[in-house]
Amino acid sequence: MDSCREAQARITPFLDGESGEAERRQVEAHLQDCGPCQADAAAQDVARRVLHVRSAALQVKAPEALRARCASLAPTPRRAWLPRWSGWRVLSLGSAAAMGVVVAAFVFGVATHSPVLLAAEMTLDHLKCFALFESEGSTPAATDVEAAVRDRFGWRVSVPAGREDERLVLQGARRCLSHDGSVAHLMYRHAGRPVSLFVMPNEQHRAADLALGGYPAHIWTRGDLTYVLVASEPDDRLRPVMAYFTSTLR
Amino acid sequence: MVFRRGRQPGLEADGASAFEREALACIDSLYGTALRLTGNPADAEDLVQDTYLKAFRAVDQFQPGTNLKAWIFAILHNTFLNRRRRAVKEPLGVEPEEIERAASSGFGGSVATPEQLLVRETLDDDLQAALDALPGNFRQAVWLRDVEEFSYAEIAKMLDIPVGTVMSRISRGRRLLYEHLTGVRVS
Repeated sequence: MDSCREAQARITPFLDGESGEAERRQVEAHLQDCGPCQADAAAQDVARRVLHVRSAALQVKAPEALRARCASLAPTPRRAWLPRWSGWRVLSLGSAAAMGVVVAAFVFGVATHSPVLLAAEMTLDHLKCFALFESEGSTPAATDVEAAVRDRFGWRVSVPAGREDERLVLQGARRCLSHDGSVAHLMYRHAGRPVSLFVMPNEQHRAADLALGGYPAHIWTRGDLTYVLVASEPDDRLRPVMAYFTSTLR
Repeated sequence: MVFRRGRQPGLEADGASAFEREALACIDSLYGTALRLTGNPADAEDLVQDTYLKAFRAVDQFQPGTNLKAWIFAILHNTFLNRRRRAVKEPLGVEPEEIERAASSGFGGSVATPEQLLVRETLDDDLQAALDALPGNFRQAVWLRDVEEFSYAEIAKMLDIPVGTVMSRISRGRRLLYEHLTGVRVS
């Protein structure tokens, strides 16, 4: 490589490690003998290294509001663990049952922080989520659901895997929109019937065993977590499930 | 990382979310680049938001196994160019006087070595000013290579220009940057 013109075109890929072995040797040889090209290579290399060293300082952080807006543009997740929107097919059925629950809550005469109101709220969510979302049929691993809940909502929630012998199968997890959006909704099926376990961080509620609109609901607290268990099955069938959850979630 | 397309049986538990997560992890880089392209925060935010909208819609066109960041940067650049074409009539060229200005606006005659540059207290501001002074095409190429660390091939694909053009823009951009920082003419 004799001409500087030829060498100059190859200096940049040489510095970036994007030239082949033969070319690299040619450029090296030329640079040894040619002062002006040496100066050019040195200048380019200084610019390159300075940018590289200071790249962190040059980069900016996207505004939080923009981050939130962009995250909300993501399509409804289609993860197996996250039940998929299935339209309004079963909503009418769900609504009818939901109305029953609301009426039941009023009949009980609810007050703020009352376990009945909490149970009513969670029962509505139980019905709504199982009516509107349908699992994709595959069974997610509890660790995947835990990781997904942690990544997506920033919550460390321990997710019981379910029990094969009890035919209790984990379906997925959602963020429950009621109760200020601060509730993790773990969805299961017990012998095919919907079972919801709601986990509320940093809340203390009185323990209670209720049934609203024919749906059993159990509330208990462990540490700084309150659990609400709601199911679309009779209470006597739900009891072993509850025993499993209370023994697992220590 | 493997991304699966569409709703195949056995879709990994993390399939769609890994894509979203990795795409959203690029947001600082995208915003920084958008800020440099548009020159103001409001337009940069618009551009980034538009980019994500298109990326999430086009998720099926993403080739699993290829660089997701390069792919989403390509969307950013295309979106920017389309907007620019719509908004401005003049072509995106480099004017000779612009190069002259970029080179001459440096530090009159004060010669600096790399070591002196790196310990200079005002380096970050100087670097910022030097980058701002570069003609747009050169700045873009240097930024993508030296700050965002894309390969020549990725930059070529993203900007839809030949690899040779990428290289010449990077080398000219780096020379101008050096000249601006040191006040020493290279070429």
